[in-house]
Amino acid sequence: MNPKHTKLTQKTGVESVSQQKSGTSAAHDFETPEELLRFDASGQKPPEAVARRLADSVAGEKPLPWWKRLFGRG
Amino acid sequence: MDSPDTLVEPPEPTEVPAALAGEFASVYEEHSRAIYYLCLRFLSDDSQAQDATHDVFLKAFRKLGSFRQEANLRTWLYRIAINHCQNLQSSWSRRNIHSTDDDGMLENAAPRSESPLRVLETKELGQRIQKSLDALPEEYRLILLLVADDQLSYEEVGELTDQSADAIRGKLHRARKAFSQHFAKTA
Repeated sequence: MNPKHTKLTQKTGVESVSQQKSGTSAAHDFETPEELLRFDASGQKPPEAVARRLADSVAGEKPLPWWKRLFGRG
Repeated sequence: MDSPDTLVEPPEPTEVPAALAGEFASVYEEHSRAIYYLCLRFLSDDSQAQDATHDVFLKAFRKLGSFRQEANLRTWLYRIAINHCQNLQSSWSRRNIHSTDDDGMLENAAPRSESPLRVLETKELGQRIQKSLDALPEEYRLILLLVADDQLSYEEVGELTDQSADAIRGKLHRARKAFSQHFAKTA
């Protein structure tokens, strides 16, 4: 499956600068929304505070009784 | 013109505090970006996405013992995340509360180490993507976000959304078209 898609165009801040210097127009084209989302996702990551909170939460978890450790947490 | 692939730098490893040690630390390191991104774009709210990411991994930690080793860990985490986000949205809808604080979300979304130029770029792109996703039916939004993850097959996306891989292929075509139309309007 490879349907034709409308190209998704995004002018970036980087290009705006090069555009000012060279006087040319530039934009990045994405063939599919998935490509665009992958590009967007590559610039996102959870703040470190989330990992710290998670570490605190995990540390605060009560140890499981032996029978739950043996038969799974369920 | 550059191919979009050349723009995507390999993600930096997520910093994991020492307290998150052992097997679970590597689970967080490997999957937290994907889970956070799904929560962020699904919930349209950065602080809720951070809370959701925390809650999803805490649930996963508690249930890690019941995880079937033959299943895909990423798929299992996505299922927890989707259920969690849908419950949150359903609870918000019941209370009629809608967050429109895009600026707050997107300013927080960019890592601090990036230059202001990069933040500006991410903000503009993020706003356009979020508006386009918000305009889609929830099912299309979810399918696009899951298919965008290279690690998932159509079969796994179908498993996560309770439908066949063929149904996913059909709906993906319509979801792409709808997204592209909305995205063009945000230019």
